[in-house]
Amino acid sequence: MTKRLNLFAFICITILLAGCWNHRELTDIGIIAAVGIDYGQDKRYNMTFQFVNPKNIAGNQQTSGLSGPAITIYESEGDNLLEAARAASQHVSRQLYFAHTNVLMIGEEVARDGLTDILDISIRNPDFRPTATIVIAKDSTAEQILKTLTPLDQIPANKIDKTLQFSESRWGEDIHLTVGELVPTIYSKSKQAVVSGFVLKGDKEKGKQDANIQSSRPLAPLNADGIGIFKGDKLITWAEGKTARGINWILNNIQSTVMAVDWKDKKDAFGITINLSKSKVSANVKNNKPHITVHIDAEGGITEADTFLDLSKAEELIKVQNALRKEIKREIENSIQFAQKHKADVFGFGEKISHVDEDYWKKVEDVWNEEIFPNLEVKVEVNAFIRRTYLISKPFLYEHKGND
Amino acid sequence: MENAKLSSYQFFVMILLFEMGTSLVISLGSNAKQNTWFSILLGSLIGILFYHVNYKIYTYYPNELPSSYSKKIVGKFLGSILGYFYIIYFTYICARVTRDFGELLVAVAYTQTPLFIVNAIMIILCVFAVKKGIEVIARTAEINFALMYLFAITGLILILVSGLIELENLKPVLRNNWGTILRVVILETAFVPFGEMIAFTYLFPYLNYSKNGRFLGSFAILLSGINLSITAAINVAVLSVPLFENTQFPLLSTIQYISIGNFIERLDIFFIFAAFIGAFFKIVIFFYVAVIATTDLFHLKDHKKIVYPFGLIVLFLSQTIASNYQEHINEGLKFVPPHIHIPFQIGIPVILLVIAFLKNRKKEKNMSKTMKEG
Repeated sequence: MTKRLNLFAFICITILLAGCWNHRELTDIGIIAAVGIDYGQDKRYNMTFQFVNPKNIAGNQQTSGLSGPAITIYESEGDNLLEAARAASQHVSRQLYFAHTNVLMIGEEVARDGLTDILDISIRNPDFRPTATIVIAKDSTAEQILKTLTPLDQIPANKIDKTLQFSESRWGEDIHLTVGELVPTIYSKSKQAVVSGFVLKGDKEKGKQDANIQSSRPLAPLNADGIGIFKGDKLITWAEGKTARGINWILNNIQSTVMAVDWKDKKDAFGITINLSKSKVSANVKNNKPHITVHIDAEGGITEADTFLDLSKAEELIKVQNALRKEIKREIENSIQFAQKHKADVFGFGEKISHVDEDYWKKVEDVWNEEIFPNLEVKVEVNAFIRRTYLISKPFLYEHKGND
Repeated sequence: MENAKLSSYQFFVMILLFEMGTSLVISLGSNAKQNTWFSILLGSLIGILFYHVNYKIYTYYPNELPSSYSKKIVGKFLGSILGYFYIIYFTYICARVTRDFGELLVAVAYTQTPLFIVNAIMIILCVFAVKKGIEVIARTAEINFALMYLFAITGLILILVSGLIELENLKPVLRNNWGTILRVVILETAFVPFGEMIAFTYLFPYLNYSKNGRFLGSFAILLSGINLSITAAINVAVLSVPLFENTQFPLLSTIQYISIGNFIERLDIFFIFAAFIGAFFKIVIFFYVAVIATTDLFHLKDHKKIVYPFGLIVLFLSQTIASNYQEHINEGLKFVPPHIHIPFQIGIPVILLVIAFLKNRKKEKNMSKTMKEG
C-alpha cells in the first residue's frame, strides 16, 4: 500500500517539477533578431521588429530556389515602448521573444532627442539582453535599415553585428558597443558616450526585395559609417573616418588597423599594418589645473611600399617609423580637437581626473564639459615601432622604376 | 532535540551555504558603492565576533540548546519568554528569506507564475527536509556545496575570459567615505548575513567534536565573507557603480553580460541555480531551528508533528509581510536590522553571556572554596 502511495506521489511530483506554468511553446514565440526604434506620427514611438523566419533559414540548399526571405518585418506604434511592443500582437501571430535580439537600432531623430526611454526598458526587462549591440541609423530611420535584405548573412541583424565587430578590430573606425556597455556612460559627467552608425545607400525600395540579394552587387548596401558623439543621452554630432579612428586609438579599442604614411612628396607611400596597439591615459592636477597625457604603444610592419627607400637598412626604417609616429599623433590630436570643439569628453579624461584628485573633480564636474574640457591641455605621446617588412626587404621594383 | 550527529565538514559546509545563501544574489550592502567588497569583509569580521559571543555561552552549558540554557541563566519564566521570542524571530526571518527567493524567481524567470506557487513549492521541499532531520539536510549540503562551487568557479572563469572586468570601476578605493562604509557595515552587512549565524547556536549540540566549533565557525564565516566580497567586487567591476546600485539582482546582471564568441551566453541558469541552492539552505536551516526550538521549549517528544503547521505559518507569513517587493526589501534593509536584528543577534546574547559569566565565576569560586575546605 505504501509503495503504491509513494508511486502516486512520485508521479504527481514529476508533473509539478516539470515547471510547465510558464511554458512557451517554440511554435508560439516569434524570435526577434533586431529591434528598431523611430518616431512615428506626433512623436509616438514606432518600433520595427525583425523576426527570424526559421523555416526559410534551414534547408535552403536542398529545396530548389528560395522559399522567401529569412526575416519578416512587422511594425507597431505606441506612446511608450512597452505599448508599442505589445501592440505588435495585433500584427504578429506569435508572442514576441526578445532573448535573442542581437541588435538595437535607433533612428537618428530619436537618438538626437535622447536615449533614456529606450535604455530603461532594455535593462529593466529580464527578457532583453544587455549584450545586444546598439547602433544608430545614420541619416535614415531604423525601419529602412532593418527592412533591407543582406546577401552574405541571411539575417541582416547578424550582418550589422558582425560588421561592427570586425571593422572595430580590423579597421578601427567603428565601435562595437553593447547596451550594457553604453548604460554607465550615458549620464556620466566624466565620460560621454559614443555609438556607431549604420547607413543605407542606393535604392532603398529595392533593398527590401529579393532583388537585393540576388544581384551580385547589392542594390542597397548597408555600411557601418562613423561614430555618433553623445552628450548626456543625446546624439550631437558624427565623427567620421580618421577622426573616428583617433577616438578609438585613445579608447584602446583598436586591435589592428592600417596606417598610410607620406614619404617626401609622395602621398600615402607606405602602408603599415598595426598589429598591436595599447593606449594609456594618465592625469594629474597641478595648481588647480588638470593635465592629461595620452600614451600610445603600437607595433606593426610595412605591408606595402610604393616608393623607393632602402628598407634593408635599419636607420631608414627608423625614419619611416618616426613618420608613422607623427601620423598617429596627428590623427589623435585631430580627434581630441574635434571632441573639444563639440564640448563632449568622449575619452573619459574627466574620469581619470576624478580618480587622481577627487576634491578638484567635485569642484569642476558640473562645468567640465562646457568650460574645462574644451581648453584642456592634452599631451600625446606615441611610441610606435615598425618591426618588420614581411617577405621583401628593399622595394626593388621601384628601384628599377626610378631608373627609367 | 533529535538524536543526530554532524561531522565537522558538514557543519562547515552548512555555514558556508547558509551565509552565501540569498546574500549572493541580492544587492548586499550596495550603498557603499565601489567599496561594497570592503564593507562585506568588515561585516564578516564583526560576524565572527558575534559568533564567539554565542559560542562562549555554549561552552558554559555544553550540549544544551539556547532555549534550555536561557532558562538556567535568567530563570525559568524569563528564559521561557526569551525562547518563545526566538521562535517567532526565526519563523519571521524564514518567511522573509522565502519571500526574497520567491520575488526573485517571479521577477527573473517565472513572470507569469503567482508568487504563492513558487513559495509553496519551496516550503513543501523544506517541510520534507526538516521532517527527515538535520542529518539529511547536512548530507544534502555536502552535495550541493560541491555543485555550488563548481558553478561559481566556472562562472568566474567565464567572466574573466569574456574580458568584462573593468578595474577602473572599483576606483577610488576606500577614500573619503569611511562614514558610508561604516554605516553600511553597522546597519546592513554585519547583521545580514553574518549576524544570522545566531541560528547555528541551535545546531552546536549536534557537532560530534564540539571543540572544533569555535574554529570551524570562524573560518566558515570568514571564507563566506571573502566569497561574497569577491562577488561584490566583480559585480561592481562589470556593471559600474550606478548600475550596481540600482539593479535588483547584481549577480544576474553580471551573468547576463557574459558573451564568449556569440556562443556561450545567456547563462541565467547559473544565477537561478545559485539562488536556488542558497535560498533552500537558508530557509531550511531557519525552519529547522524554529521547529527544534519549539520542540525543546514545550518539551514535545517529536519534532515531526509540528513541521506541517510551521510550514503553513511560514508560507502564510511570506505572502503577507509586504504588499510589494519594494516594501519588503525596504523593511529588510531599514526596519529589521536596527529594531529586530540588533536585539536578537547581539543584544540578548551579550546580556546572557555577561550573566552566565558572573554566575559561573561564582560557582567556580564556591567549588574551589569547598575543595580547599575539604
